[in-house]
Amino acid sequence: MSGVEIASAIALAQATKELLKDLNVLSEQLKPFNPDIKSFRIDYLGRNSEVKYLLLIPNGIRRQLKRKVEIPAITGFRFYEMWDLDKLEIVNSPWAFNGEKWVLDVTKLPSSEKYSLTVKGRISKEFLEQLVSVKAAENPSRQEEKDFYWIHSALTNAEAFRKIWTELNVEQVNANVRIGVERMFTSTIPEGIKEKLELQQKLLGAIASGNRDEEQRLKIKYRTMKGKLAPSELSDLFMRLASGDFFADYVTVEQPYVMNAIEPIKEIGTVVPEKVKVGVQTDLTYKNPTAKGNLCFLRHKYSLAVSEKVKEVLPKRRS
Amino acid sequence: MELLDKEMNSSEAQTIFTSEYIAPWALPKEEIPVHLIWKPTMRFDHIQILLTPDMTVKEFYNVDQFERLNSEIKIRKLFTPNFFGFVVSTIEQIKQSHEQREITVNFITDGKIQHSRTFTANIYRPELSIIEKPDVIVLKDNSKLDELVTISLGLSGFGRMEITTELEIGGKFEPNVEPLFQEMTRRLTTTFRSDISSLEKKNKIKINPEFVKKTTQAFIESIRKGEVPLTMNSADVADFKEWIQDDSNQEKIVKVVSEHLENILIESLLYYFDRYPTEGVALSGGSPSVIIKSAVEDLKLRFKYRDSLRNEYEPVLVEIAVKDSRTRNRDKELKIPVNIKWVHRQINPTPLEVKC
Repeated sequence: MSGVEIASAIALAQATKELLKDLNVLSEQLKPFNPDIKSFRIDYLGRNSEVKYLLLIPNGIRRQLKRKVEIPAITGFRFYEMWDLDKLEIVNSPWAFNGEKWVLDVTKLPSSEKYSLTVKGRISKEFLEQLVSVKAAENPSRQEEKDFYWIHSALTNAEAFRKIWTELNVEQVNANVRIGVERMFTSTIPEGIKEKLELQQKLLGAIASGNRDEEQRLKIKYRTMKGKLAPSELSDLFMRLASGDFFADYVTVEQPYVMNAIEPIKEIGTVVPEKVKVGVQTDLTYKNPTAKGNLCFLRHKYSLAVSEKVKEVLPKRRS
Repeated sequence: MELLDKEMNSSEAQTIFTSEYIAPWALPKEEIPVHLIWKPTMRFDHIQILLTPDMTVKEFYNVDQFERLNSEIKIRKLFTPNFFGFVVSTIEQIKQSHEQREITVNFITDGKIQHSRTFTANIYRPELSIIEKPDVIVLKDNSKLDELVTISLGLSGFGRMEITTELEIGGKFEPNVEPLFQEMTRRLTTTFRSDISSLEKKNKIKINPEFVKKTTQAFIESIRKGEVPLTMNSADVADFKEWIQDDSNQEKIVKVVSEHLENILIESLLYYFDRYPTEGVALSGGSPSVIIKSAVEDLKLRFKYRDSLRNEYEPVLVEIAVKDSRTRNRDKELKIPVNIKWVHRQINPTPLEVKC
């Protein structure tokens, strides 16, 4: 093992240990109710963990307890929801947090015996990165009118959890694919637009440098130019075309992946988005510890749609 | 016999292995995930991974204990019994446009190979080459400079490339500077000594203030790093640098920048059009021009290029002899644009069975 491998393995072991310690504390605190963990889920995207307990609160135990049960908030978990499993209905806020402790008001509980309790906790980004590995193709393979990107996700180490639960769900495991769109915009801009921009550039340059003759000459040319264009309109249009609303129609992803958020990526100092970041997600479990698939970008169809939109916005008549 | 082995290999795979994967293509040094899932009934003592010496494992999936022995890895213990995987990559760049590397995974019981899978990693790189260039250009009094130099560059291999053009100036190759920042410098250096009231003007267009802020920050950062050449006398350069780094001038800088944003936007859009001259290519600094100062100089251009993972490849050099047949103004400095024709010969890896 190299130094890095050892360090990351230790980091994961440490983080897992912390999490398990917290869960043990919680189970210990819930002991009067015979807690039984039914499921453990990790929401990768939301960076949450969620534990569902089955609790048994028979009348005998209820009598033994005082009116209130207090659980010190040392674990970082919050008590999220409680269901009455006998009547199959949600119990209206029996748990309250007073800044230091979670307090269960036993008198608020109905007479049922079986309850389901959901607690939620935060999970660090580093921990998730150690638990799950996500890879996607850097460059696409082009097949006719489509671009393909491979995607792969895997659980790297779920053993620590397996010792305690028979089920583990790591949900919404996100993978980002970066699709280059720069050329789509460049190639759809008619040559005339470039010339107009160049003329505007020269004119503004002449004004700035105080070259009166040149300024007059270019002003005449500029005034007679048909279909003037505000450069900001063009960059706004490009941003719109790279937004999730528009772009989503031109990407598909194979199962078991589903589409997630789409957003343009713009480098600092440029006005046009060069790439679009497409998020895809899947769930990983003990039974399905890996996921593989392809993201497909309908390049040709998108390029046609971009051309259409550019035509709509650009001035009709040429100079 | 070999065919029989292969058939056995695949039919065996169907029965024992329930899922297998290797990423179908990658750039040099790109991370390639590999996995195998098998039926829980399969028994083995340990797993052996055999790699070529130029490959390395960067990550393991579901591996508890392992040993590295040169290009062999011995997996002694898994966390859960019927699944394992790893991430490999090449250590160095590759020479050919497409090269393959074999990765063998053996399941060993009592010192014998019980089951074996061989994966093929397909590694691709982009490649730039000169297809055609003039050996000599002749400068005449009536030469149309825009049409004087045309070279054809070939794009082959696989993957996007970022090309930086460098011109030889005084025996040294200097990169073309990003015009957006060049323009901003020009504007700022001419106004930095004037007071703020003289800069009051109406802004005709609305610009996202966040954009102004970010652009300005990036710009100031590049001046600090000395990435933007300042064409002023040296006393002014020192003053200017001090001025631009003084936080109390921030407001003024942002003002100048936002005031000229219309122009800067035009500059940036034009730059952008130049930056992506053809599919799969980003040209740093836009289209190149060469400046010829005297007739004895040859024209020298260098195209440096790298892939999306910033792997740099051997640059392409272009040298063109210049013959000066001008009868007038022979001392005049000439800026000659270099026209580039792009010849696409790229290859595309075949994806595994795709359903979209």
